[in-house]
Amino acid sequence: MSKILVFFSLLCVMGCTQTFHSEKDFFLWLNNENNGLVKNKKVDDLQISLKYLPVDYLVLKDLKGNFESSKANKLKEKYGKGLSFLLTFFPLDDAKDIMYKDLSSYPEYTQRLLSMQFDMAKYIYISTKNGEIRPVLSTLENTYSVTKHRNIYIVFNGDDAEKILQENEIDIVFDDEIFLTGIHHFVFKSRHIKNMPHLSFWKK
Amino acid sequence: MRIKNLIIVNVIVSLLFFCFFIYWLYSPKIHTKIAYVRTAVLVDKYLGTKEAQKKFEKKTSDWQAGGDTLKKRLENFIDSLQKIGKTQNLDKQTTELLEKKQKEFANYQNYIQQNMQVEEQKAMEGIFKQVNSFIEQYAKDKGIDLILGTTQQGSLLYGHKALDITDDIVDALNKQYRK
Repeated sequence: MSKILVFFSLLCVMGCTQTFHSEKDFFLWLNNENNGLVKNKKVDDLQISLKYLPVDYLVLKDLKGNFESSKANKLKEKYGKGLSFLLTFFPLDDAKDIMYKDLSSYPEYTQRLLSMQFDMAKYIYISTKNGEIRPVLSTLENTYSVTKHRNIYIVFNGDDAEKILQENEIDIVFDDEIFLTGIHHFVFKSRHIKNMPHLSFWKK
Repeated sequence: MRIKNLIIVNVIVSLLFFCFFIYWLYSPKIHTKIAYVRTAVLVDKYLGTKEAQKKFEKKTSDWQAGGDTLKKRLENFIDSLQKIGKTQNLDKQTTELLEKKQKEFANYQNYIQQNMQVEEQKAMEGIFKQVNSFIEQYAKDKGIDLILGTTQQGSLLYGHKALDITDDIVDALNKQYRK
């Protein structure tokens, strides 16, 4: 009887532990809102999306198809120290570049661009019982106006990350002073981040 | 005679059915689903409003603290002049210094007033954008064609309680606020 129980327990554990064998599978899984690593808010004609970027994702991006185990391990160590997110502003009206939303002059555009490049730490933080944790790094991806949306990489410090992940929920607050859509809460479950399935395909 | 009566009745009934059919065919068939929301209550109970208010109060109290410091400096300066009995016939340098401090304080007060208005407008803009977007989606999801908003100016004079969806909207809006 106990052998049968052990067998079924193992079967359950194996069933729950997911690994990805291709990049495509991984991205499909990551971008599925039901898996808890992407949160979306739609306000006005704007969609604000915040996505947790797993260490494996960042490593994969840096490897650029060159799956070398030693290189991957070094990158894993580097990125494992922080907690990274991708903040994206999408226009709901596809025809318009989000950078020009509700703007009427060039100085306003410049102000917006500068805010997105240098002031994000003022507007985004993790809210905890003990106060606010601000990101240590934020970078606006340069798209040369080819895309209608904009991406901003947000990184929280590794020491903070440990404390943050001890909580059940990670409440990331974005106070939108850029598009003036108010205060937004993106609440992630720590278990979704901790139990993130791993990639296996680069070890081939 | 009996057959004649029966024919007349049949014709009348058929005519009635025909009229009823024509009416049914051409009568307006749009069943508009309408509801209303007590706007002031909705905005007041929305968690986003409460958080924005807190943020606004924090900002204004920080500004006020800056104003208090300037005021204190000005008062201290006037006190120091009074202590040495130098309240009238001030020399040029002291007059200029006093005027500078008074101007600094007045400018800062103006700056606070203007900024408070701008910040309040920005906060309200964000809240209304969130609430309006949510209501639009809510109406689509629930198949409501028209949602009216009551205001204190009385744009909606009467609405049956069954059409009041304020509490439902407040619950749903607050649930998705921290999600």
